[in-house]
Amino acid sequence: MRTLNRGHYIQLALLRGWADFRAEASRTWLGVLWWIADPLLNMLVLYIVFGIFFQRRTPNFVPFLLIGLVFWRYFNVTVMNMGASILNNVAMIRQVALPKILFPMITVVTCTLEFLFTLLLLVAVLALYRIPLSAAMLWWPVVFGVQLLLVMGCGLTLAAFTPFVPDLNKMVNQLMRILFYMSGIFYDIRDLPEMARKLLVLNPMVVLIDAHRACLMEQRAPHWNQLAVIAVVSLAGILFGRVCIRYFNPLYAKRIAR
Amino acid sequence: MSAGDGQRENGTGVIQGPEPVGGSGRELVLRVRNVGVSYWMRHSFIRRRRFWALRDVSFDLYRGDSLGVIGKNGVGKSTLLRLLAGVMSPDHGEITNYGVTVALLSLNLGFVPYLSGRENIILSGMFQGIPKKELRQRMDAIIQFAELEEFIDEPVATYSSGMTARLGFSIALNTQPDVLLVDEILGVGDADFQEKSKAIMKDRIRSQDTTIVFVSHNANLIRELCNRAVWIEDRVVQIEGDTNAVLDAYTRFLKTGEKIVAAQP
Repeated sequence: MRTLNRGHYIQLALLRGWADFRAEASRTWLGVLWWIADPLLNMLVLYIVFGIFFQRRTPNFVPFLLIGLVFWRYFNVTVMNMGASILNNVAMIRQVALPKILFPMITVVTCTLEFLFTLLLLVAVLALYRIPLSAAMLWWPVVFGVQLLLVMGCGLTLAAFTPFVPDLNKMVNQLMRILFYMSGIFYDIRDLPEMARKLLVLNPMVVLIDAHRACLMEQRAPHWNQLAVIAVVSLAGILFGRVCIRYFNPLYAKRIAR
Repeated sequence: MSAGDGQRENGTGVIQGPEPVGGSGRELVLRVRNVGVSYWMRHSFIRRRRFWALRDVSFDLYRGDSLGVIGKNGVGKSTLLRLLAGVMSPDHGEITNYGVTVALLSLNLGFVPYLSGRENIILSGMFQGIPKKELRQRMDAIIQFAELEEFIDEPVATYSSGMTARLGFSIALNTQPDVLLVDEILGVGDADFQEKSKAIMKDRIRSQDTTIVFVSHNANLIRELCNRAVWIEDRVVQIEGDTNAVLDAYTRFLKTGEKIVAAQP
């Protein structure tokens, strides 16, 4: 009798995540270029609206915008895809008894690999605008780690419930649209009145985008205490999502079946 | 569901039983008792209706058995296999597993069309629970059996449906659970390969080494391949036992509509 361990599934999540990434790249005519073109076009729109029409240009407005956009996009795309992942794999779920957490984990691997491509664009733009290298950049991997925790906490929790409430994904999509305007992507929250700032800081993406900018272009340390709170809450979210997925494990095939 | 001493629940509603006590000298591997499954069917925002796919199913499975499950279409045979595979859990009754692995024979599981046949062997095989190392070792045999030597490094999207079926079947053959569940698939792909795969499946089902649950609505096939049978009608097991006795009752029912309602407590 074969016994399958956790290692088998971790290996499978990585392999399949990598495979989906390559499949995605070869599927469209422009392939990988989309991962660069999409944020670039988004940035162009925001630049024209806020930089030119509203004259809200801060110094280094292009890298400022791009950092906000790129990290927001990673959060948005990954959480939404993770949320739909169990629902999208009904066919397989009805055939084999698998730990369902496998599906959101595959998604997070694929999306993170795609994100690494967008990161190349960011590096190019930072170089183009002659943002100096600094010691603060060494903190950046930690900030990214906290964002990954946040993404996984939200994504796993969403994935656990979406198969039972398919409208949940639509609702979260609406929420994401609102959050987009409240995440300090095209404005600096430090320019806002005290009250608004205190409220917005409750949005973890505000803290994270500010932290990415601090490390990558402003040569300052991020707000560690705020990041620590996000990390702890996210870890709780990951644990919660995991426990829920495990608890619902035998129900998914049935609920999705009809 | 209550689990007695020495039993533990593994989260799929399947109870891991203690070592079976040998009664008839044959080793019991799965015990199914009064199992029922229902789905909720959603009609509108609020209205839901409960639909019972299986009401009351009981039988025992011994090592080396080839158990045929017969019944008309839509009596819950496929649901029964999903239950045994641990894909879903019963709403009442219990399935006791005496320490065996159970899996459904599934074709083309998780194929990614844009990847090569070789990569799909690894990925699909791993989804079916075969360790990567084993798949590497058997790679050549799988390719050879599927007769895909020339095309194996091409994307599966470029394969004909016959070629895809051959690949799917060759991978699935390497899943070797203690109990294999087979749902009507005998013979896939083009004419030649159909003969070959049919012969292999028949060998597997007949063989004494593998324990198989084979679902079909073809009475002749079950008579040919299985040593024991279960007849499900109206979501309830009508009769269970020796293949010939069960199939005689089933064919009599098809002719006259006469049922044997198995004595249930």
